[in-house]
Amino acid sequence: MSDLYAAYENVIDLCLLNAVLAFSCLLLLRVNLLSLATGGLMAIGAYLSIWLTMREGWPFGPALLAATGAGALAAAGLGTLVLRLRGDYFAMATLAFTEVVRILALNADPVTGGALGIFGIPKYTQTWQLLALLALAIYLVWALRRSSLGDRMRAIAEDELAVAAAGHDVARLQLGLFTASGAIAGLGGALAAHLNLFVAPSDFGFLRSMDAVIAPVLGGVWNLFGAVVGAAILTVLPEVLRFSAQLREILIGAVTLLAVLFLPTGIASLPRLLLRRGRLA
Amino acid sequence: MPDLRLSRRRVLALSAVATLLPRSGLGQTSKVARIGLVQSTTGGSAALYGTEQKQAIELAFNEITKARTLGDIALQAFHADDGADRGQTVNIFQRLIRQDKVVAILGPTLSNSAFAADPLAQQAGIPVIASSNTAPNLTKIGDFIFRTSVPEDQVFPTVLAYGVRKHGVKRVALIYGIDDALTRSAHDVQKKAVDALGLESVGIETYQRGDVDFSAQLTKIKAQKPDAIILGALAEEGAAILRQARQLNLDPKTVFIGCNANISAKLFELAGPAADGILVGASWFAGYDTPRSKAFVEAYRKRYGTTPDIYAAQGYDAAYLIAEAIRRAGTATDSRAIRDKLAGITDFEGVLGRFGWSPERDATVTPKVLIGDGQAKVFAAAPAV
Repeated sequence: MSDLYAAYENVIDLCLLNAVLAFSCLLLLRVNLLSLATGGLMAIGAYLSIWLTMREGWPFGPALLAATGAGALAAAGLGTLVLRLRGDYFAMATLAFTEVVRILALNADPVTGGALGIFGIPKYTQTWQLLALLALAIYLVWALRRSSLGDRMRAIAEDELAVAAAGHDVARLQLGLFTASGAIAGLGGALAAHLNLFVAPSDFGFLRSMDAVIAPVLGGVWNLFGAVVGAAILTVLPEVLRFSAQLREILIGAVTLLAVLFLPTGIASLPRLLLRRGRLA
Repeated sequence: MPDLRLSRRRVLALSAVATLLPRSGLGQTSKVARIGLVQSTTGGSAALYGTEQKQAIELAFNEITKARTLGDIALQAFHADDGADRGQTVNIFQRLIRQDKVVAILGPTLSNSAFAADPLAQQAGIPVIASSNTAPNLTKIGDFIFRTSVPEDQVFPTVLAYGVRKHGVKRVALIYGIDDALTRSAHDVQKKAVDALGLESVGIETYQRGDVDFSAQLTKIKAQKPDAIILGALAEEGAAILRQARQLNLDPKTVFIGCNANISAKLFELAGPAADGILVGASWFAGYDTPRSKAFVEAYRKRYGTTPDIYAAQGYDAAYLIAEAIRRAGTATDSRAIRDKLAGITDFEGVLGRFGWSPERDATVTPKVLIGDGQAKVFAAAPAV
C-alpha cells in the first residue's frame, strides 16, 4: 500500500486538488451558473501565496488563509459586475476575467517571472491537507443540501424567475455562492503552487477553468460525490491510457463525450442506475 | 473442497502481477540498467521535439547493445509520454524512480516540466540528462541535472559577433513573443548580448502567441532603419515576420538574426525565399562535417527515413553519455556512482563535436554560425569573415 502511494503520490495529490476545485464549480452549476473564472481566481491565490512565503517569509498556514481571502474578495468584486449577465454571456465574461489575469501575470515580471514562470517554490502541500480539505468540502456540500439554502438552490435551478417572484433575493444568494467558490479557487491555487514547485501564467488559463467545470458535469452535478468521481476520472485517465500513445487524447475526449451523452446524471449515479436495473430484472 | 476455479478478480490481479514483474529470465546478461525515457510524443509542438529525441535515443541504445560496449550490462529503456503536461511529468518521474527503480532519466522534453520534475530526481539521487531543455538556470536545480541541449546564451553572442564582423551591424531592433517561455528567454539573452557588444538598440517590439500579422511592429521598426532585426520567435512566427518584412520593402541589406527555435524545416516551408540569409547559431546541423555526425545522420535516415534535427542529435549524445558513465562506473544499479562518472567525462567525442561539462553541467559545445539558404531549404555553415 505504501509502495503504491510512493509511486503514485502525485497522481493522488492531483486527484484530491482537482476534486476540491471541481467543488468550487459545482456550487455554481447548481444555480445554473457556468463560470470560467476558476483559472484567474486560482492565479490570484497562487501568486499571492508564493509572494508571501518566498518573499515575505510567511508560514504556509497564514499564506493559505490570505490566498483564500484574496480569492473570495476577487470573486465578490467580479461577481458584483458580471452576475447580472446570464447564460453564455456570464460564461464569456468570466472567461475574459481569466484571460485578463493571465495577461497581467505575463507582464508583471517582478512578481510572476513573466512567461518564464517561478521555479524553486517550496513544497508545502501535503496529501493529508488536501484530504482534509476535500472532506470539509464534501461535508459542507452535504450540509448545504439539507439546509433551507439547499432547497432554494434547487428551486433556482428549476426556475429562477419563480424563486425571485416568491420574494427571495436570488442575486444575493448567487453572489454569496460565487464568493465561496472564489475562496475555494484561491485556496486551490495556493495549494497547487506549492505542490509542483513551479508555476507559470499558462497554468491558469482557459484549460484549467474548463477542467474544473467538466469534472462535476462528468461526475454528476447533483451527486454528493460527483465532483470527486469526475475529477478522479479526468486525472487518472491520462495515466491509465498512456499505453495508447497517440490515441490517448482522442480516447479521453471520447470517454467524456460518451459519459455526458449516455449518463446525463453523471458517472457517480452509475451504481444507483445499475442497482435499479438489477431490481427491475 | 476448495473452489479451484479462479475468480475474475484473481485472474486480473495475477495478470497485473505478471506484467509488472521484470523480465529477468529472458536475457543471459546478468545486469540490467533501467533508464527512464521521458519524452512527449503527444501534446502539440512539443511532440515534434520529443519524438525526434525518443527515436535518436532508441537508435543509440540499439547500437550500444549490438556493439556490447557495456560488457554484461544491458540497457533497458522505459519510455513514458507526458503529453507535454507538467503534472504528468511529475507523475512519471515519481513512478520511474519509486516503482521502476531507474538509475538515470533522459528528458523531459520541456523546460517547464523539468523545473517541476527534476527536483524529484535530484532528491532521489538519480542523474538526469536533458537534451531539449534550454531555459536558463535549469541545472541550478542540483548536481544530478545535466544537459546536452545548449542554452541560447552559449550560442547567441557568437552569432551576433559574426553579424557585426561580417555585415558591420551597429543599430539593431528586437522583436519577440512575450507569452512563451522559450522566446522570452531567448529575448533576454539577445538583449544582454546586444548591450555587451555596445550596439544601439533602436526598438523592442512584442507579440503574442497565435498572432499572424506583424505589420504594425515591422512598420515601426522600418522607420528606425536598423542594420539588423533580431528575432525571439518560434519557427511559425519567425517565418511570418520574415515574409511580411519583405512585403513591407524593408531595406534588403537588413540582416535577420534568429534564435534556436528558428532552426527548423518549418521556417523554410513557411517563409520560402524570404528566409534567405537569416543567421542563427546552433550546437549542430545536419550538414556538420565530422565522421561521427555523418555516421549518425546516415544511421538515423536508414532507420526512420527522415533527416534528424538538432534535438535528435542532442538526444543521441545524451544516450551515449549515460552509457559511457555506466560503463565507467561498472554498475547497473548505483545511480550515485553513475552520476559521479558522468560528471567526470571531459572529452566526449559526440555528434555535436568534442565536448565536456561546464561547472554548471551544461555541455561545452562549440557554437556553429549557420546561414539560411531559402532555395535549398537548409541551414549551412556561414562563410568565414
